[in-house]
Amino acid sequence: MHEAITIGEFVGLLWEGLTQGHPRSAMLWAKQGQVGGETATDKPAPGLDAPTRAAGDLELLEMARLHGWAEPQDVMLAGEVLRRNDAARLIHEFLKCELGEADEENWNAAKSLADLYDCHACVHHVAQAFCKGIMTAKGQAFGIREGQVVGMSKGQAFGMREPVTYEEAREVAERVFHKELRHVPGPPQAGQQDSSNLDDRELQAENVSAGSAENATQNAEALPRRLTEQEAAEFLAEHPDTLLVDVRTRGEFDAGHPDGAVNIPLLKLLEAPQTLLDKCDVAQSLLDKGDVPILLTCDAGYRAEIAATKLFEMGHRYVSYYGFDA
Amino acid sequence: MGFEDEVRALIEKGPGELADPAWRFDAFENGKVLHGKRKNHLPAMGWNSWNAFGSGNTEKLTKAMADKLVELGLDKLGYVYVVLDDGCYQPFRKDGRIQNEEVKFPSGFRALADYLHDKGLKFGMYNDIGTNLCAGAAVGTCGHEKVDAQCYAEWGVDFLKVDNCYYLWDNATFSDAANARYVYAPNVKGIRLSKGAFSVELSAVKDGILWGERAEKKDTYVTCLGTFDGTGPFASPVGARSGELRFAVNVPEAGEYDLSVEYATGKEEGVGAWLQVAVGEIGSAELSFDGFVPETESPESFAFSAPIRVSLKAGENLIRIMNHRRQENTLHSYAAMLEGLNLAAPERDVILSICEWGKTHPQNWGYKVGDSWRILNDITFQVGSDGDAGRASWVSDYTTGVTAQYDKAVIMDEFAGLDKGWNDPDMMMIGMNGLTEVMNKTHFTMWSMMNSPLMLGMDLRNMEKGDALYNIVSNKAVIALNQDALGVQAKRVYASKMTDAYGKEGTRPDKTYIRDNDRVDILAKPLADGSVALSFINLSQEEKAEGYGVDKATILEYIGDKMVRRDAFEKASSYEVTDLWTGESARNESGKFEVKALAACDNVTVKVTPYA
Repeated sequence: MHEAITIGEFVGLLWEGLTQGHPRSAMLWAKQGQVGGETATDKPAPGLDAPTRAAGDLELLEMARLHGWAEPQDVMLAGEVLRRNDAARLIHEFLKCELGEADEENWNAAKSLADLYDCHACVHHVAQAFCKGIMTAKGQAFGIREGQVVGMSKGQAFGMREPVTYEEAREVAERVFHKELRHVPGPPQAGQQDSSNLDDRELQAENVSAGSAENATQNAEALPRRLTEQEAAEFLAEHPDTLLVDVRTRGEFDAGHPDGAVNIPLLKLLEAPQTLLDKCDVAQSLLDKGDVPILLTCDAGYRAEIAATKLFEMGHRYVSYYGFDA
Repeated sequence: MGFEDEVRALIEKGPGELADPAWRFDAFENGKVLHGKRKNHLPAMGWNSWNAFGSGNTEKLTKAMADKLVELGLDKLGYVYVVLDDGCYQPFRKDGRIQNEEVKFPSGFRALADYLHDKGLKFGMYNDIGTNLCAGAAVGTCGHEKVDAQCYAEWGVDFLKVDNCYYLWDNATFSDAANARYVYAPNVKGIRLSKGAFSVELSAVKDGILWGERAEKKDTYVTCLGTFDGTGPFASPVGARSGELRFAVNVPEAGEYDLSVEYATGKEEGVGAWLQVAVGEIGSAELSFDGFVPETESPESFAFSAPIRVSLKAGENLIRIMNHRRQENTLHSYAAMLEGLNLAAPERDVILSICEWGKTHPQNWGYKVGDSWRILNDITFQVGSDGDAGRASWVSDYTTGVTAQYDKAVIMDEFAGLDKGWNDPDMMMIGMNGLTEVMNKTHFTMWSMMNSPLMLGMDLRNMEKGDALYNIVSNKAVIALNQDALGVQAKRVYASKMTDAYGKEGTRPDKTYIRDNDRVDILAKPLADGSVALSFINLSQEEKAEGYGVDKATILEYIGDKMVRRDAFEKASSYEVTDLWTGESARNESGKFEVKALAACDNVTVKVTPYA
């Protein structure tokens, strides 16, 4: 749906995700009382006031404000169209307040966004939403980058005031709760922050815009996500339809492997990726669409990473990997 | 009239005609203030909410800060302005008036002002020259300057910080990107000048002369005729910050000529649709045209403008094709705020803190209407909140970090003064995570020496008398440098690396824009009692032990013209040298002031007083 979502509806979407039993939320509800200084007293007692899905929009907004992740202004402008910079802010504050997720210390990848510094109050929220792979770049804009002494050039932009569609809002909300779905950007691409070569930058920007919006998004993110053992276990619990693939050799696999894993040795997978289908009870169409969650594994994680990167490049959108003995 | 209709009406009206030459670029260097702006304000000192609490600041927190300022005795040391940064208004006006946000500021602004005034403190607030504040609240002063100034006067405001989000006459933060059409001239291919039988055609590329910065000759036309965006750290603040296309034309007789410009319009940074034509050099020019020209299909489809009447003298004339509206419009808008404040409360001395982040190089014009001007985008984007001190850095990308702000402000001393105002390298980050004690000490020294506003930006509940941070910000001797009656910003008289940001070797340490922070600087500041303060600063994160010094002759060469009792300093055979951080004193008889080694990010700052 290409209609824009409202601020109030988006806040509702985030609440919905939280109360659908994300494994960590119960633990975090209990922590509520300890967060912050004086404002802690403004917060509802742990566990008691988690909003039910039946709560009306304004009540949810007010709750979000009380919990500290929405502004009074959001409550007053609940019916207004949600714009990307406000979405980034809400997501960032939500992650901190409700999920206890720490900031990414390294936010260098965001510095490739031409419009990152357009609004001083948005920089941090946008950088976090982008670097966590929750919101991706959208479109192009002029920006003056480090090293450019003369003039500005066009590069990928965040699209600060662009409205957020319902479709995008749902995708974004999913990524808030499911880390494996996030499109974490890699380190800045070669040429993207290369100050000395403006021509290369402009060329790359042109290449990006020549492709589809989809391409632009994929250029913004570089690698599939590595999970810890814990995260992998949670992921499998939440997504029983995941293809869990152990990419070690047959011999290694037979000697012992994670529950529920199928074995496709790495070399075989790289040679003939269609073996994926042979091994699994998944409809061809789903696999083709790239929508099936795939989790690669091996002992240290190195081979799994190679396999994951290959599948990701082939178009599988929800690929992650972990080392079960890392 | 609804808000959107209001904005539409403002856009229709356009930026002011600016008929009075006092608004013009050509008047920027005449030293004259506008609307009777009050002079002789020393740099403001106090506390601002942004770095400490961001948009999470509340009335409760502000009062707690005020209490701490008094408890710690910081108010007696000069920290009196308590400034509410962005985030305190309701998103819409009520009966045309701005309103306090009721959750964060339930008692209203008058009550808060009274609370502060009762403690002997002063009250500062925030707004912008656009239609909306950065976070979107539809309460910008554009079109409402008089009524807003009225409110501020009623609330007892002593200080106003004003940014330029949603500004209508430039592509500022969240403004329409197409607003670039207001602030850049179109691309120009050439001009045609005629009168009666006389006619001459000149090519921009072949015959035109480029003046200033950034104007560029392409194959067949000239582009970038305007003032470039100064928000980023990439360009020096010194010198002409705009570009003009000039022609020297020779005409047989004096009279009214028709000038037609071959142009192509755009609406992005570098090429716009607003043309200015002037005849004559800066200071004695006459503006012949100042407005939009009809749009062309693209920035490379050229057309001739309708004839513009220009008055020429016999012989050689200078014709200037340009656009200075970026600076002129912004000046005019800030002036409207000053004018409003004058009308609303003529007896109140309200400090006006210009905060357009250096976009329009306010060091050129800010002194006419304001008391300080931000020079860059923010020093940190990771501001704190209640319970989180936020993040600071010594050195980083872009404008963040102590050194990025310092590197630009340190060569802007000639723009500052008691009769003008002060360069503002942003609020201090002392107390935020990421800076060591030594870094904080040097951060404070730099800001003091550079006559910057000294605005604390931490949760003062985390400061106690006698702790490390308190000892830094309460150093009377260092504060006295900033508040010295002479009001002269320190000058850099030495830099151990002189390669500028463009890769060229500079000759003057006080004018070369150096961004390589692996170096040692020496600053010299003349003081009202005839002394000179010297600061030896190690900007790098490694110890520097090569020995750094400056002699009497160099000091006199660079700041002699600003010193009082210069002769006494020159003729003295010995000096008392007092270290302002350790308190130790020594006698110097060589007239050469040296430091052997400096720890990483450290400084040695001394006051040098000639013995009679």
